[in-house]
Amino acid sequence: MTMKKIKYLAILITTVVFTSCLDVLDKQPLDVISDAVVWSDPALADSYLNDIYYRADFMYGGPGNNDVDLGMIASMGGESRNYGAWQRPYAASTSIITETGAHSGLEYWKYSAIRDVNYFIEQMGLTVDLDADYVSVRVAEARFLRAYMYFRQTILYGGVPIITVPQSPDAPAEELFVVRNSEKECYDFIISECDAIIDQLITDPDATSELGRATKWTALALKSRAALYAASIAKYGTQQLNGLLGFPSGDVSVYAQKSYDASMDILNNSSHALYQGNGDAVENFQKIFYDESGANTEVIFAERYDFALGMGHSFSNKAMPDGFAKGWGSNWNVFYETVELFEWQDGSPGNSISRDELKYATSGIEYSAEELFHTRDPRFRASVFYPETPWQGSQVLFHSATLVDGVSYNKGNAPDGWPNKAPNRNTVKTGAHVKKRVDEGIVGPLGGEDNADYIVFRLGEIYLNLAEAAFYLGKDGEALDAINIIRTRAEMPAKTEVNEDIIRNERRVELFWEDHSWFDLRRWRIAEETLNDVRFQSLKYTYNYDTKKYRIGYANAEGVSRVFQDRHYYLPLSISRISDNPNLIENPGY
Amino acid sequence: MKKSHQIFLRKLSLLIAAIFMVTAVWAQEKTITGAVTDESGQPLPGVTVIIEGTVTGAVTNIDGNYSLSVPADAANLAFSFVGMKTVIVPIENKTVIDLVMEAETIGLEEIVTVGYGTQKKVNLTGSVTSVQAEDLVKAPVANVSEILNGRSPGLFTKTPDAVPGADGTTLSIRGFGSPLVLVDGIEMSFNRLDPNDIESISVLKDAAAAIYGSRAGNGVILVTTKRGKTGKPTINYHGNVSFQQPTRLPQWVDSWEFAELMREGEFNRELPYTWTEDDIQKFKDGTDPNYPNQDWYGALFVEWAQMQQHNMTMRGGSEKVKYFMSLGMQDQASLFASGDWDFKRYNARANVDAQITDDLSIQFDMSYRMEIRDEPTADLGGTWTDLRTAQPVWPAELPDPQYGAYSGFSQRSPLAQMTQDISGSRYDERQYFDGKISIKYEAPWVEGLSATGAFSYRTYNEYQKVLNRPFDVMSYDNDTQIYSYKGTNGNNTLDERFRKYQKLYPSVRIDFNRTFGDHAVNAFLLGETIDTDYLQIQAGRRDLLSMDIPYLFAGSSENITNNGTASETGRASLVGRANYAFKGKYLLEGTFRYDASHKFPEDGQWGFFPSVSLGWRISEETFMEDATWLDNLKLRASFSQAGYDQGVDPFKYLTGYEIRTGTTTKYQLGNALERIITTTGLPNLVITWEQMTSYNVGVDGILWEGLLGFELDVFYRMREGIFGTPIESYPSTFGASLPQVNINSRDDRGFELTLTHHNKIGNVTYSVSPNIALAREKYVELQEDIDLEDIDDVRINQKEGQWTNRWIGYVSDGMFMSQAQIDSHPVDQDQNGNTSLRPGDIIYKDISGADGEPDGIIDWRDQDEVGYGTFPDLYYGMDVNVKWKSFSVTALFQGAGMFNMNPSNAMKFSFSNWTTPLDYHYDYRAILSEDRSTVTNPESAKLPPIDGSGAGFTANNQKTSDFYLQDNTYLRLKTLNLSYNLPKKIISSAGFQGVQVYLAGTNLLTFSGLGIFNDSFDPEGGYNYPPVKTITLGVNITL
Repeated sequence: MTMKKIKYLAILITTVVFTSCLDVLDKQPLDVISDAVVWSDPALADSYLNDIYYRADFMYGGPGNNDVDLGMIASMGGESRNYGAWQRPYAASTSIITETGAHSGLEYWKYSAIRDVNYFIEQMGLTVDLDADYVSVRVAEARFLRAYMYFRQTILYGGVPIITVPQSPDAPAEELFVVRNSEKECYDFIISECDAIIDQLITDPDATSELGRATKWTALALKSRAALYAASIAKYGTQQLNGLLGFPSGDVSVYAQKSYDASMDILNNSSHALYQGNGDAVENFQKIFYDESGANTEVIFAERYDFALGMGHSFSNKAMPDGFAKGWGSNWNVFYETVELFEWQDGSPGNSISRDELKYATSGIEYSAEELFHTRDPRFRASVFYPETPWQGSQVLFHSATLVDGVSYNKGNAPDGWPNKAPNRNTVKTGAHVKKRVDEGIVGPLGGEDNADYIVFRLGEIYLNLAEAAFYLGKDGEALDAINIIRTRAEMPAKTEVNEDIIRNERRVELFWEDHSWFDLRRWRIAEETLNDVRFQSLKYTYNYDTKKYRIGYANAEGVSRVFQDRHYYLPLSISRISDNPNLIENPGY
Repeated sequence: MKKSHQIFLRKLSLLIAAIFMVTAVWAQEKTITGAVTDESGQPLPGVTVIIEGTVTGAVTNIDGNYSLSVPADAANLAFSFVGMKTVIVPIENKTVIDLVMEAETIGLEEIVTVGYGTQKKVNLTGSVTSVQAEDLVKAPVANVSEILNGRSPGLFTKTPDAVPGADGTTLSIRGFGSPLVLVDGIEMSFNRLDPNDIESISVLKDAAAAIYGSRAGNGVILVTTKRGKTGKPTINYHGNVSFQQPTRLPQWVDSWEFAELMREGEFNRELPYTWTEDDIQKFKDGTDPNYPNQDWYGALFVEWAQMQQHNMTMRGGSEKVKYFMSLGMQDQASLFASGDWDFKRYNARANVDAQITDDLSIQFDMSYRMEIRDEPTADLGGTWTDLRTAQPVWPAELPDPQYGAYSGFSQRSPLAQMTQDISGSRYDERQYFDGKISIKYEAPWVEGLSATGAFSYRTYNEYQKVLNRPFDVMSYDNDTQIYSYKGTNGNNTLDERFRKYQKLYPSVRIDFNRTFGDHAVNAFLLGETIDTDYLQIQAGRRDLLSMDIPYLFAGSSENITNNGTASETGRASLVGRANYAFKGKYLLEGTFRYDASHKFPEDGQWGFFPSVSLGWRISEETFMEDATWLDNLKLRASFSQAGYDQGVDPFKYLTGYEIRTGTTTKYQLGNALERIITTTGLPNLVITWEQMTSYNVGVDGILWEGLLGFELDVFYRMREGIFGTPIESYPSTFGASLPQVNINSRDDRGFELTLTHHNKIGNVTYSVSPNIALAREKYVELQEDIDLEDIDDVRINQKEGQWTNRWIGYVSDGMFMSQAQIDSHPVDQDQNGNTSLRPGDIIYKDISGADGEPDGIIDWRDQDEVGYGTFPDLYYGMDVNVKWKSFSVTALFQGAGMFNMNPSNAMKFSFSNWTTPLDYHYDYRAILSEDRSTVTNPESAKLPPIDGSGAGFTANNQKTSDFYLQDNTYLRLKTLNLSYNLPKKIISSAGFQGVQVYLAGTNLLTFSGLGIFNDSFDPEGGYNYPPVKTITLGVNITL
């Protein structure tokens, strides 16, 4: 190598270094879309709004974590427990809620999504690039989502701060450090928002491209539910914290009327109708929750799932009874107290067999599955797995042992192939499992393979809202009619009168495991008597092969007694939110 | 892939051979010969003899003889050898120069690597510690970062597990957090380097690190690889085989104890029994095959896992060309008995220095590494979860091996999960290539001036293929010979991924090194840029037509996934350093770096990071001349400013939206999945790096020729501009993900002290070197939501002004021993009149209430500081070396203190999340009486009663408290090495220059006091793949 060449090389390297120096810092994020583009392109604006739909978390406790945390409200409301004691619903429902906050799985503090709604509404108001009709309908959807999120917050905490604009980071502290609006103001806001958007929302969503968007009927359904909550709290609750919580008692009829009107509007003017006539009453009721064809017009609004598209969940995988499951199954175990809510098919009370009569050790009576379960309300058979439930061409079993000629066996099979012991996971918890929403057509689903939509509003609830509102308004006849429409669809004998208990029981039965129970018990202010110092019971079965009947025993279904104190009608805002903003006043008792 | 690897190596060797052919012929005027011996008269091979002021020289042969041609005008010969004092001998008219070399006073002549260069240790003004090559291979480890355990005072280390291919040591200089790691000047991980390639590792702690600017704030670790040496080729083979075994292992209860505990838990909670007394008896009898006693751990793991490492290096060179070449491999098996989880590494390196002309030299380095991880699909965390819930009452093996054996919980089957033929495989291949060329031109017209241009290239490719096989899990009844289906594990899926990373790194520098009489000046100025880009593509299918066709085309057309990501980074810097020394006594060093990163907005992306440090070698002063006992005494002081930008994501100054990826992060409308965009949050227009200001004062001394040596450093660091969310100004209702801004600050202070003692008694040479380091950190400013008007909120939750390393929790006060005690307890502990409590539950102290006084209710106000956190503030160690004739023993002790172990739920609670209880749960549980009203074993009860609800704990006992917290102080024999050099007589006849055999161990002895957890858990590890102790047999052969 000559000196000359070397010098050239040195010059070359130096040049490379210094020229690259200039542009090496000129980097861009390769995956970010700029703000301005979003408000001029409907595809991007839609994607923004989709995010809010996604983050509204319609499904309590899911999706996610393989869906083992579903069942939160059912568990809190004493309908069922989750199989695993570490699952959030079990942990939440068996611990005492204190000043440090409720279980994180129960919390719903959505100000981040609410801010994004507010920003969406603001930007849609400013844009000149988008079609006015498009803007109008999307803004209405955003307002629905905001009202829905405020509703979910209000039913947990009572009054919360209502914020309707994206606050500026430069706003003065007195603007940022908001105070709570009253519970009444929150319900008023939710209802007025629903009223304001009803005429802008779509009425008949296109099945292939729009199902999953909020419609006019969705907003009315929210109004129907929210106004009913307000009416019942006005009726049964008390005003506290200088009116921050509760309503003047005169408000009962005001809100009942709003709920009634909204329900009537849906029933009279929408194309939604009860799902009827698809097989017998049991099959028909089951299919409400997974028939996603055009025939199912009962569903007013649902969060959509479709495994083939890549959007599946794991509910069926976890709910499938042991023996039919591909692993973790039998996850949601129904308490015997819940079984008793379901009437016999002839309309007599579901708890007509006393506990002593039921228990073999005290009564010496054996019961067949027919006597104890097959003869209950068809909705029971559609909603709960119990011994000898017909399922996928076979049957679901729960017994721990079989007596053959008085000798107890817990393994192998009896002569005709009857298994002496049911699959293990069916024998260890409550003796009944949640069946509602499990699609019988899917055999052995793996995690993530479930297609069933999560129904947020369906017409069945609207009838029950109507019945309750009408009852509060003194329109007993209309209440009775509404109840009987629901009962008739279930092939249950019509009621001849209505009262508080009948309306409540009908609601608990029809809407079992649809994330209503705990909220209903709270707004009726009967949670303390239903859920405090209670040990829920499970049934244990020994099958007598000779009589083909069961010997029933009881056992505690949970490790502890439940605690529901007076203060638990409102969750604590908790110390961290108070420290975060000392202007927030904590709920009483914490 | 393997083929291309071989082709590459072939090309590499050709290239290197070509470089060797560049030889030069020199004028020969005169030949000097001689013999070099040590003080005892033994010949010294390998001594470098150089004509002073040139690079011409020779190396003594095995008999200590050399022969060297020198030009007529040459004045002096310089003799140098590691561990010996360098001697300069005038040539005059001599043709024979024999020399007796003296051992140097330990440490004085040591050369250490510093940022962008090297320095003599005595001339250091900053705080730098260095680990040399010979220490690195003393006790072979799977991962190079482990070598640093206990070796460098002030470098805090923790080695929590030993998963092949995924193990690593957490390194933290002075407790600051992750340091910047550079290998031969390039930022990269050094975990998987071949330890035989490493010459030294330097830890730069204070101003010495500041030259790395905006990345240097947590200190810097410099790894330097070996280079060629003048002399005939030395070929070295180093091979070893290691056997690894867990240090400590949790012991699970036997089957009858398991059944007994379940029954007891159900009794305690009035729940139906799962097992009968009869069952327990049958488990004890062990005669019925349906009642086994399965040790799942024993079935899943082998007792010893094997690892081998082989390395061959060739090192040598002429005056013109020096080379170091290395080929190495590592094959590490896991502890899994299936043999299906292992890690392999193959690596090659060639570092070549060539003097092209008098003025011009080049450095040419290349290295290549391939890592192969061959594993079952099961992720390790999942397998550990499965193993922890595996019950001893179910057998681990079934007659039909195609099924997974039911382990008692859902479809979990840890053995099947760890077997590739059953659960599927995850194959991962990573290839790294590094190349560097550096050309140095020494300006002939100015003495001491040189210019260097360098260019580095690094590329990294990764290919990963994950094949999931579904398998059925069964239980088996020995009486009826019937299988019962328990579930199916996994899906039939295939996922392939490819990642590509590339880094371009050019630099130019100008050096000036010259001595003017008493004044010595060393300075350089350097400019560099770093440019990287990265991309990943992924594709997946489900339901392959056949599992034997593991390719994407065999998958179903439904549920197809594919995705990709990409990113790029850039960096530009101007760096300078100047050292000035007067008479070798007064030392001054100044550095600066002008640094920019793509992460920050354009008008704020350049930062200036200066440092200055001073040294005063008191021992060189004339007034110290009489102190002959004092070989070295130096005072050091430094001040520096550096940054830390690793903790911040790039482009936070921009606002926009990201498309959410992943199948469930979409929203379905009608029959289509609609995509979602999410805001990236509010922008921070003035985002910048964290700023570290460090002060360091040190004193080094060597007394009585090494009988006592010490190094003491005291430091203080202020860390400002830590990224935090300004939550104080915005309540949660504001709703935006607030930008991270530079608002928080912390400060650190501490010291490091190392003592050394070298001595020789008779034939025994030994050294002992204990060290201790303490570092504590405080929150100076911290954004937090504290209600300052509430004294308890301040006391419990406010971190500002407090040490970072503390543990807040309830203060326990023993356990309730009877129902009567609960009934008469004056404090409402569960906020429900104590109705949820039972005998054996933990008692908490009532410390405070709404008025600041105890109020008879246990609530959040009753928390307090209950001890240290879980990362140690104190480290100590001791290095012991003993040599006797051909034998040597090295022992390294290492330990840590001022921290706690917080056992996980599964460690604390029996049956927590259905985990199988451990022996200590059985031994120390509170046992309740027949009427559940008293604890029957108050003396031995150290844990609450078994909880039969399946949660394993109650809200009361689960409160964060000091009840389970354990002082984690430990001391362990980190490494021990016994080596023997075979006598020269024997080996030289076989043609070897040296043969050393050694036996080494790591983690052989551990002292810790973890209470009831001590026998089950390692003080450095948790409840996962355990840390291992290693026993190694190795041989080191020099040809």
